[in-house]
Amino acid sequence: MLSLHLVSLENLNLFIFNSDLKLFIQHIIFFSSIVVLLHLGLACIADGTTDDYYLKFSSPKQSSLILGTSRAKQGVIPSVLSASVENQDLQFFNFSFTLKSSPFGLVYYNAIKQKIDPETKDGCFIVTVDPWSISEKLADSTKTTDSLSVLYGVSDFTSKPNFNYLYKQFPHGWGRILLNRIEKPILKYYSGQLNTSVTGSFSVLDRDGWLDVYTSLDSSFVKSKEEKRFETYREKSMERAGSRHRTQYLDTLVDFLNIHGDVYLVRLPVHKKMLVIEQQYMPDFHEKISKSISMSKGYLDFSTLPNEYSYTDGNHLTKYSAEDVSKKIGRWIHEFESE
Amino acid sequence: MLFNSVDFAIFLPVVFVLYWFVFSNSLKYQNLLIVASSYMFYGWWDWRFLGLIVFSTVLDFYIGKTLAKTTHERNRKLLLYTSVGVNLGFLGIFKYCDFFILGFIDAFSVFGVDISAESLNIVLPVGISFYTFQTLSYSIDVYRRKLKHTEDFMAFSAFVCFFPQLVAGPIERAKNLLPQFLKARKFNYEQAADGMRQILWGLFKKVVVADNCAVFVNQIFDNPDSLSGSTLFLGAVLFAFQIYGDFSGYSDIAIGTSRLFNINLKQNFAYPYFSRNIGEFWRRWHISLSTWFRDYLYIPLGGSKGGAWNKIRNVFVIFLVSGLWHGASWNFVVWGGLNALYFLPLMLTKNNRNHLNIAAEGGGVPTFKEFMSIGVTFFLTTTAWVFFRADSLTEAIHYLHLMFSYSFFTMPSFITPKAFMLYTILLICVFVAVEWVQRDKKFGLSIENLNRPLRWVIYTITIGVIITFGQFGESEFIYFQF
Repeated sequence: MLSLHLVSLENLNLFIFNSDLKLFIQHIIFFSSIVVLLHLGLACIADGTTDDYYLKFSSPKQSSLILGTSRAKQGVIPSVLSASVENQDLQFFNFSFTLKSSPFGLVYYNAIKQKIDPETKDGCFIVTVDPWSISEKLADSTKTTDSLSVLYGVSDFTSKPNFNYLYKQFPHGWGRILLNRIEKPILKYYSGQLNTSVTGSFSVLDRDGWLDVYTSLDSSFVKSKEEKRFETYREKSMERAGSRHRTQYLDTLVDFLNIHGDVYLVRLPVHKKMLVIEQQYMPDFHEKISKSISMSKGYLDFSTLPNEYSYTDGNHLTKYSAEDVSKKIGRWIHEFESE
Repeated sequence: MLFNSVDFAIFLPVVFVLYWFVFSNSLKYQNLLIVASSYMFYGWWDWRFLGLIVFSTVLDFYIGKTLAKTTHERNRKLLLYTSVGVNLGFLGIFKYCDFFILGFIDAFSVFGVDISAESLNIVLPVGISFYTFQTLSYSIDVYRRKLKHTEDFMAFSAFVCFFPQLVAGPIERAKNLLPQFLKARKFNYEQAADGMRQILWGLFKKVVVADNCAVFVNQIFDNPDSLSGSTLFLGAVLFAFQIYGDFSGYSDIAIGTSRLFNINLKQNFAYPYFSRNIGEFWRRWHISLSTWFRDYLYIPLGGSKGGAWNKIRNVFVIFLVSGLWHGASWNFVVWGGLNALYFLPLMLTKNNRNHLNIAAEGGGVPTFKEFMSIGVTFFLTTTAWVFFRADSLTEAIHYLHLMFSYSFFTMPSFITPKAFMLYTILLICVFVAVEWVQRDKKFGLSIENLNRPLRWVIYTITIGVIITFGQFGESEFIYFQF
């Protein structure tokens, strides 16, 4: 131990007097600083063009949330909703993700708890529900499914820039942040000429958490996407089953949100063929969520209303229909609020 | 552990600091540190296979010692065969067992005999083809009395498992590497700075060139039926750059990292895509493997001496074995065979040793003849790469069939996202231009002769390009699978 200590001291001298090594270390530190500074700069310019989630992790704590999966992420527009509710105190934020990332469960529940301003007492929460978000893949355990969520392992939901998120969940080099910032406005400019390939689509996340999707609405293109989507969900219905665990977490979530304000449950519209798949898959869906319905202030079920909306793929509303649906939800809440 | 991972970014500075600040006065401790850190580097992937490296090390160390003491030729041969048998035996079991089992089943089924057997699904230990050849070269050279055996076990262990080149080469010879572990090493600024330049260039090749190409290559090779012949050719060209960027990038990082420890490894790539014929290509591509096969297989077989049939046999043997070295699959065998066919006319017309210098030596622009020769060689190489990339022989043939159709003469369709494809092609153009300008240097970023401000601007730009355009998903290097 002593000899090792002496060796270290001797080499400490080397560090001081070996000018070559000293110079090399200085230069390495200099270029490492450039690497660090570049990354800091890139993190600072991250925004809604970065990916479909970043702003959800880098906005302040919120008092009114829209929750659910990608149907809500694309289908409920906070600004339209806020305007339709006609209550200036309610500023909604869309904190919905995807079926993979935000089925009801511990991971999503914890993320919501961290996103809500703890002081909120009169907030408003729209919890969108569907059979898939209270289901589980038969082959996987809940733990496995949860670990695939973009929310998994992230502990910071409000910092800007959010290094925690970018390090853990941004799988590309951070240079992609800069490239996306350059590329997406150009794509937006030319979005009228979107080609008919799936990968020709792109998306930009609004400050309020709504995902603005740019994709071709050419009828034959949409039809082919619909067919693929229906097939995927038919397969899903074979591979999945309703989950008590996830339904219980929906109940727990509604119970928790009640502490912070009014909770409304909404089942968003989908293509009629998709609805048939869902009805066959989980005919007792309403029974399953009956406890949550009873704990909420109201339940708006679009599946029982006339289906007058358009979809990008049979599963997600187009932005035009998203506006209509958001208005409808807003007016519905407004009626409750005025009672 | 991958060179393009955060783990390695922490590992390397820690080993560097320990090497130069704590153990700099003791050669023994420096070698011990190299061995310990190399085992850690390898064990990061799977520690269970460390036993194979340790076993090979102990075996060849003692065989080397015993060979030196033994004068009886028969006993010496026996020792050599033990080393060759055990090392190639490991390689055979872990790499080729499944291939031969399935081969037997297929062969018997041709004659209507159905054999019910299952492949063993043996996990291939990363880097086994590389370190096995390295340690074999020691035993063979000691046997041939071309190398003095070593009595220093730690130095020998460091030679076998030196982490920068352990899993994907360059395959070093004991003659070059072992003596460096036997003498005291002092820190050398120029050497270390050059090493950092080479690491930087290697990273650029890997994460910017190779990994960006990989995105399109995967798309194109996964959907050949829906694409035109010209797009499929574009896919093959992109794969040519992917595999070059990936493998030579790894070699650059390995060589550069070694130089940080004042260890010099041999150059493994020398701008192979500027070759004017296949013979030149194979002198410039994976040099450490080509020369290994030349010295330990081709020359013992008789090389280019003897009659025409001997020459043809030797050329086919070396290329087919080289193909099989890359992987236990018929794809690689055909790839090797195709290269043998390319090479054979040069050999028989005694043109295989043409072009020992660099293309357009002393000038900036190649002559028309040189340009055409480079183009034809690149085309032939690219076509052969299809066998290397495709998942099976059938897929490779199908891909080539679609590629060489009438639609070969149409404009390739740009695979979406378009902007991404455009800047990838632009980056490849920049890369080729830099490599062309620097083709008489050891690597693309060999700019030690420029003045410091200009050098530093170039470093900063390269760092910026790597960060901006690099793919950082910690993708594995292709040659890990060999």
